[in-house]
Amino acid sequence: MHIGMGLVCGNKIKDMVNAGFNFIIYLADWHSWINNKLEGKMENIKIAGEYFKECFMGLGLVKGVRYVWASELAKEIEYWEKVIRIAKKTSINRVWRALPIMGRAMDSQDIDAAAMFYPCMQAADIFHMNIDVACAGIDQRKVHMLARDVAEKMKWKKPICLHTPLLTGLSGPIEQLKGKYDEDPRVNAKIKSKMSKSIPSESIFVHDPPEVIKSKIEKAFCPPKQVEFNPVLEIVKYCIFPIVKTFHLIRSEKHGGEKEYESYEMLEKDYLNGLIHPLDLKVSVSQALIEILKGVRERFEANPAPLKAVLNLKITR
Amino acid sequence: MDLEAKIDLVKRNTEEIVTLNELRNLLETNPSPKAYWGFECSG
Repeated sequence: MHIGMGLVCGNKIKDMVNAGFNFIIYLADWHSWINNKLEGKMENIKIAGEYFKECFMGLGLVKGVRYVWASELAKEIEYWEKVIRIAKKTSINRVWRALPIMGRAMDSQDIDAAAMFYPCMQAADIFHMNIDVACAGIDQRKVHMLARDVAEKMKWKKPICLHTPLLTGLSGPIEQLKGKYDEDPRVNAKIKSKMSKSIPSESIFVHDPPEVIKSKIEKAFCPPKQVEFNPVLEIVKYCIFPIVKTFHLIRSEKHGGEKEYESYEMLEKDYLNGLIHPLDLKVSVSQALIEILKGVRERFEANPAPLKAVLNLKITR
Repeated sequence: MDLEAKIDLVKRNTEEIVTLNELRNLLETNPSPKAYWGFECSG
């Protein structure tokens, strides 16, 4: 699990729990199987799901949160009835255009027919669990719009949709993926350069040891006075600020001394004006992340089996 | 927590909410609404 999932999603889930929501973290094992993740083997997928649960619990997602497996829904005939009803109200073209939700380009040639179930199932998940607000990264908006349209046609409860940004991979705006993922050029560029766990040097994992976090951040793309596609600043904004009261900038006296920031906006302003050097920012971000991810490390120190099991799996994209 | 504080909390750091009005209605009428996030289990 990289920090895009652990902290961008994790922090938003905490916000929602604090706002009074009952939150379901849905472990989509069937969807992973359809999408050939972890060699398309269910036993591997279960191992990854158990590891996710441990990571989220290590990040403090315990109270107000319930973990549900897709295979629990898949046992019920009423679930499959919804899948079919959704498919009957949706054109093949529309389902095809939603394929980027699986991380597959819109111009892919080698998609098997099982993929056509995926968007219909993802919409059925929402209705079957009677969800009020469906949350996801912005790369999932197509299936959510599909679900809203079906809801209107079927007179089902229309889900409210909340979409979070995608963290840029550590090497910056480099296109890691080939093909086209969205009609909107901005969203397309974001998806193609997003932090991806299939490229370990591009991501910080929630279980990374402190020295690995330091070395990855040290090498990260962090152009001076630039906010757009700057993964280090994005980490400050989406991963660190939501859980700390102040951000501590570590800096030698010679270069201006240490400083406390109470908001991301103040820090961004100083960065844009060249008042914060990228190297000082990087050292401070590493330190803050190491602290935030402490709970995950401690959890796996006490019980290493789920992490060990997942590290033995072959990651397939 | 009052309604505006809840909305601000849910809204912060998001790319979009479809729709904000529906979210407001939900939080006005339902003290414990249900939300979900789905994850592919892939390591």
